[in-house]
Amino acid sequence: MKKNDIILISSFCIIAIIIFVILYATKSKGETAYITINGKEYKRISTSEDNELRIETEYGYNTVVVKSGEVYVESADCDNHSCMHQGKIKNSGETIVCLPHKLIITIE
Amino acid sequence: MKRTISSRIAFIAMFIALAMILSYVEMLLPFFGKGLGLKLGLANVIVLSALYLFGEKEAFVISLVRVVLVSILFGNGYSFVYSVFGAVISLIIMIVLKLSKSFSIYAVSIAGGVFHNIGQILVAICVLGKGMIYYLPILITSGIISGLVIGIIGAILTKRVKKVLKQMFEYDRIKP
Repeated sequence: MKKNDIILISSFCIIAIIIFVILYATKSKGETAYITINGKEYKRISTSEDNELRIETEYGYNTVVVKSGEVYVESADCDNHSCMHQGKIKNSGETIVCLPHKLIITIE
Repeated sequence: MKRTISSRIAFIAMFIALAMILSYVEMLLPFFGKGLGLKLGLANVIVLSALYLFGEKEAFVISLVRVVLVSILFGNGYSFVYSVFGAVISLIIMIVLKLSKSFSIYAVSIAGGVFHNIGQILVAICVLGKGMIYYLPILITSGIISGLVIGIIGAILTKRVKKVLKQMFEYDRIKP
């Protein structure tokens, strides 16, 4: 490894840390979950009351659950189930993405 | 390594085949980051080695043909846009850094990994919305780690294949 390599790698690390700090310093507890499908608005739901929503589209279904201020995907028929593994979100800016169903849940 | 045209075509074809196989192997491997869309990018070992063994044009051809073929075989239109954008951006960065001659193969590989992920996140921001920017820090970090691993493997591969190519070159000259 050369000296330039170290400089390059450290600058990547610093950029990552700076972006991380900026994104997470500005976050606060969100009020609504904004759900989009294929880039278009599907629904806004409040996170203050418990709710269960079954979203059915031409791509398949996702069951979105709101429980004590946290939002998560309980079940889905996509092939990788990554939306279910992304866990619970509650702070503004946090997202759950289901790529096969083009579904995004963002807390606002 | 400028040899006859046919042997160059054969080598490029072999490298494309290797890159495709590695893409396929990677799909089969269980990997903790799969849910987040993180990948090791094993096929980049081949592109990186091709960049150092053959040249910039050859690496570009290998990378693009691999992306197109892998998308046709295993992917869909969306995955193709993501792959092509990531591959082109990362390759441009790697070529620039390599030509600047002030970085080693490891840094070139790491920059390639980081910019591959940045390219994909840019497509994701355009397609899915700006909420995807929250994945940027973790994707840059994963790019650094996977780039380092790929760089180490790529350096070993380049060294070994260079030896073989050299032997073949000398053998060709002796034999008319």
